[in-house]
Amino acid sequence: MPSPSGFSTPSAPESAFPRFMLVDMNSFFASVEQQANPFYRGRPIGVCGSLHRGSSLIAASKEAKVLGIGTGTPNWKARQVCPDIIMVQAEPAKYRQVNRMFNRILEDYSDRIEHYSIDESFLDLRDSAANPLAMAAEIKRRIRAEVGEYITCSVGLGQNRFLSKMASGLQKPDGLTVIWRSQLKEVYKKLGFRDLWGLNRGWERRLNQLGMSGPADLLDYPLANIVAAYGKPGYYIWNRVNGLEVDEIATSGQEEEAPKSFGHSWVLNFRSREKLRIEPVIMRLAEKAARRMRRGGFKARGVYVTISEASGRYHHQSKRLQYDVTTGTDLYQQAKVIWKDWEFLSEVSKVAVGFFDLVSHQEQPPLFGHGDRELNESIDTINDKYGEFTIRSGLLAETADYAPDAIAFGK
Amino acid sequence: MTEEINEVVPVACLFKNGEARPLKFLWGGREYAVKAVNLAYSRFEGRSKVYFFAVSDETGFFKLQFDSGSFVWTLLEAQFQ
Repeated sequence: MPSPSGFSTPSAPESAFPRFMLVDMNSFFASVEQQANPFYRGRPIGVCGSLHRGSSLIAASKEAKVLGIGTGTPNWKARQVCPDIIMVQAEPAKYRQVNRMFNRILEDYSDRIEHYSIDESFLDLRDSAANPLAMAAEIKRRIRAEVGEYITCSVGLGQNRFLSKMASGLQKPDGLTVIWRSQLKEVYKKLGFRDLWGLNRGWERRLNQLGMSGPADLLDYPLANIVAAYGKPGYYIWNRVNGLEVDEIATSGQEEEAPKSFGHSWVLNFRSREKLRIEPVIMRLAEKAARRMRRGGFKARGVYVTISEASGRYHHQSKRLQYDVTTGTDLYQQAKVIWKDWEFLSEVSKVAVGFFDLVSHQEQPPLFGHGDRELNESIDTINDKYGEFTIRSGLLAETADYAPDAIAFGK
Repeated sequence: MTEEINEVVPVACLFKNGEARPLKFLWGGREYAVKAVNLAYSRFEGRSKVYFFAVSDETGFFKLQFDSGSFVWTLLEAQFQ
């Protein structure tokens, strides 16, 4: 059905079985910790990037979630709610290993897999003749048997990526949920717009303005009208909600978008208003960001600094430069210029620094001398071989526990 | 609570079919027989790959580390009932 705006409606998949699957690992980081240490099993545990009371949980075990403790709960509050909670410092190598293990299992079922986040992967099963329900049950069984008996996942099956994501969220933990096309109205009746993946308060308001009170109304709403009102985004929402596939699975073989910035942030494991104490943190974060940027083959024409105070007040400034920068020292020096006039009225709790305005690092060799380039390349080679910060600025002498390896979660 | 140990320990380990499985280790004058490898994982420290084994015996939990660059085993953590 071509729409007035030129958008065509994808045809509904002919297969009776839903052909998109989302495998979502339950309470991932916390379950991995419970898998590693049996003394943690059956107990409320919180995984955090820093054990400082001002830091927040990046994951909570199923037992902690029952108590209302979840991702983002501040450490102090988690302890207040449950004084016996076990707080565990995150160990990214563990989570990456388990991520590799469960994705290796998924690769036995489809060659079209999107590793959506550290604990979620989509499978496109349109080329598979197998029964996806039996497949899902087998995947769940294999993850327990081959990855660990305490590692569970919720599997969602739907006619498109959107519905498989919604299905996986309907039964946690350890669920296996199918949303059949015929059930759509029934499922949507129990949900509001903001329960849907990707729909926020703004979309709720816009859809309300068109006279719809909930997702079930979208099923009967004319596509042409929503496209006329909200263009392409409206088209995508309508198709997703109606179970039509408009999102391609982004497999790892596909070209990734070039990065726009390289930065690092850290919630401090101490509190201070003194710039002298915070400078080594900036230097360490700057070195980490610079290493990643150089590894990616980029240099930058812009830098930024953000400082958050415990009171909630924050300072941010970015700065464009007339020349390229590549090192942590460059960023550190610029940060000191940027924050020269900043005054911290309460203790600093978080620091973020980074590079932006990136250009590819295919530079023409300079005519006279190489400046610090050869020195930086040598330092990178040594740190590649012997580990990060083997050669480092004197400022970083006592900073080994600052900004440890961190892992991205969510999407 | 998990206790930090950080002691070099002798470990008997089976290397088979591309996998390593610690079987027993000596610590504090006692031999501990590994009953279960709960999780094995690794990370690079520079070019040296370091392997970690979260293991249990009848009484406790242990975290062992094997540095493939130096062939040294370290007991990093222990926890008992």
